[in-house]
Amino acid sequence: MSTSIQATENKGGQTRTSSWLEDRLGLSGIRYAVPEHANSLPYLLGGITLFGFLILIVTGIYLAQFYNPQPTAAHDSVIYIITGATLGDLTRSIHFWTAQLVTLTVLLHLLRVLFTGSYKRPREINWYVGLGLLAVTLGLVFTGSVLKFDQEAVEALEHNSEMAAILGSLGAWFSAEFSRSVPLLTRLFSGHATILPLLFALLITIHVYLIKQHGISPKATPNAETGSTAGTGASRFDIHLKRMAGYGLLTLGIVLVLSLLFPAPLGQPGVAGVELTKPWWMFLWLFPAEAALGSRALIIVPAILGGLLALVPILDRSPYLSPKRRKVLLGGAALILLIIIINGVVAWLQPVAQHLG
Amino acid sequence: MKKQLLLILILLSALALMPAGLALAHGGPEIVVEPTIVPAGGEITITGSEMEEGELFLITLEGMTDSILLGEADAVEEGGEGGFEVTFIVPLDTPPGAYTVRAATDEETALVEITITPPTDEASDEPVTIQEPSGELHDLDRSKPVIQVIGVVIAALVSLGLGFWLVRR
Repeated sequence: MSTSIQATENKGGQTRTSSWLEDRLGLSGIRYAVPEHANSLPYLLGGITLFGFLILIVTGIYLAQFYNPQPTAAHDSVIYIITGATLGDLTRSIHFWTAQLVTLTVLLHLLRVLFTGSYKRPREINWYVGLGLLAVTLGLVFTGSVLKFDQEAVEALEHNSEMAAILGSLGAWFSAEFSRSVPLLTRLFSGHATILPLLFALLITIHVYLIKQHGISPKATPNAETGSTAGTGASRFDIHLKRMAGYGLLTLGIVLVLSLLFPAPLGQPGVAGVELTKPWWMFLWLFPAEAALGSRALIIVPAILGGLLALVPILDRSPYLSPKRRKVLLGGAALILLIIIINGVVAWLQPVAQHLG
Repeated sequence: MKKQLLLILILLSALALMPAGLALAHGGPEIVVEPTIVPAGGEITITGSEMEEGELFLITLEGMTDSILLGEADAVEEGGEGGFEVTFIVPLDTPPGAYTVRAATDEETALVEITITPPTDEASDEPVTIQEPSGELHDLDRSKPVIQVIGVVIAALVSLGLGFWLVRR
């Protein structure tokens, strides 16, 4: 008996397998200390988002085997995915619902970071990397929504072209004139499937590296001050990873149920020159501004909002993390959020309006 | 503090003015082409708007290698602004592919991307039926085999169960 135990365990209590893996992968390296609050749901929203992106990559690769990005075939190929491809409808619905939830978790993650002052020194650069990731995420959602080439997608594509015209040379890539050999839809597909995912991979690598360098931000208790927490705390990173995977699997479970009950929608083939649909919820709040100011609102409003977010670490340079000690900034943020929500509700209730042209 | 406020004001002003400046490029002529997918030999209708009355536009079909002159269009007064509606036949020998319809004067250009498909027998005889736009969803058969439904339910339960277990550990 004792010989058998000695055969499978070494002095440290490790099995031979884990010892073999430890020698080659050095997995004990991920057992470094992290603060206990890093394992709470608000501080795991970024991790849940990352798990969601893994689902999106896997399902996206599968969908790309059946999707034809030529304008003449795009919509029909989506119909084929739904009706003909093995597990196509389910995979597309998982992709769709994961994209919705990931957008939600990205936005909630942004609000959590804002609320707990996690952008403060020494994490300012990571705040900007995070804003870049937000832009990439919204870019992925937009390009993804265009690919189905139904009425809503064609209207989105027309808005895209109008914004490109407004931006002039800055928006050249988004115009039909940029390339005569490849249609705009096909190039947006390459943006969705290669350019943006590569940009995402680059930014998320920097994001995770900087979190490792500075540690998760301290808990925003009444007298907490910003600073590095790297290598300190009562919990361990491997526990943090397990918790992250747990929430990720819960997300996957919810996505599977949603995909089964509410398959991803597809409209009729798109016809240019008319507006009969509304954009997805993450862009819907821009609808009233577009009605008032025209298509340039789609550039001006996000630019102002992005500019304000970029100013946050410059404006709020005190070391305090508690929301009670940052009432002015958070009050302003809450007001903007309220305006966005009200705009979204108004747009949801408004009849569809013609903005283009 | 004053310096910070000044910096904020400068940045906000720059942000507010930047798109406005860029917007000057906007407000030029626009065209809509129907249909955007048409067989060679088929008919396209080009509707122009936001034009000056009396402007003469050259309408060309630009492909990867060459450019085909379709014709001209005069902008006429329409409800306070100039515009036109012209119909052209896409030449029967146009190679299939992605094309740009360009309506241009010496100073202004409007573009729309269209796709030319191989000619059909009817294309040269009859006008192409323009599809009615619709905001409705496709009424596709979304039912799934029972085995797939059971598989997804089991996968969801396993995922949720494992997720709860990991979160509560």
